[in-house]
Amino acid sequence: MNDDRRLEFKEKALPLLDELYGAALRMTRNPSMAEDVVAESFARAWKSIDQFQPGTNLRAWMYRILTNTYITHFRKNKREPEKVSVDAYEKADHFHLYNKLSSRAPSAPDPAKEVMGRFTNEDFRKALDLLPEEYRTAVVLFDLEGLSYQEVASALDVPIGTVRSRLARGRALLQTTLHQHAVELGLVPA
Amino acid sequence: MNPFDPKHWDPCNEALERVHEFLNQRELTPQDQADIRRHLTDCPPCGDRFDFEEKLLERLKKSDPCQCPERLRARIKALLDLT
Ligand SMILES: [Zn+2]
Repeated sequence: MNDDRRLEFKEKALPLLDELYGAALRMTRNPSMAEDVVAESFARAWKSIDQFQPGTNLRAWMYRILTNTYITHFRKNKREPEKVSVDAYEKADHFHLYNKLSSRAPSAPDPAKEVMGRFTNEDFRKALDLLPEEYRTAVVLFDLEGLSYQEVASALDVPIGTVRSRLARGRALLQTTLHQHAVELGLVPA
Repeated sequence: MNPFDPKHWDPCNEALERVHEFLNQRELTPQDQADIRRHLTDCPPCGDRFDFEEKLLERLKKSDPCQCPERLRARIKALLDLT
């Protein structure tokens, strides 16, 4: 029985290596720590292979182990997630960048698209890295890796409603950060 | 204010709040999808915001084409006894 599972695991988990490493890199923001998180996750998965139900979603299972490994073993401050003022983000303008850009030049053809095209990949990665951890992990798992609400909820061990509000705030903050960056680059006035 | 009172129902607010869910349509019922899609088509301010957010997230996703380092791949293969 376990042999079947091990076989299935080898076939299906290895092709996930690139994306799992990518997710770990965005969570840790540190390449060598990301490697350790992924290696440790595979080790834990391999050891607890009897808990995996063959034919069920191995990808979601791996993300759950990965997220859990990161949170319990690698996060700098294990007990206390980075404190952010929820209030500040509660009031965050959900379309900050969009609003700034479209008020800038209402007559220009799609100013938003024009400015977005001038951000580099690095700019986007930095903006994501700047998000407080709990928003960043939600955005990484849902928007980048395409997990479902339910899968993200069980990976983070929070209710689905929490996943939804973290996503909304995380995305709103991304717009705020990108706007600041656009100002720094001189693409838009402050 | 009772948010369920139809007098106070604000389709824009509702649509914008649900833009996030709409960005991931698999999480909505077909009926909700149809309602929101109709609003986004009928209401350019909401539609533009949705398009913008969608492009932004698409761009974010593309900014991160990660490749697992060979060293890590070897480490995993050794663990799984595949070397
Ligand atoms: Zn509207």
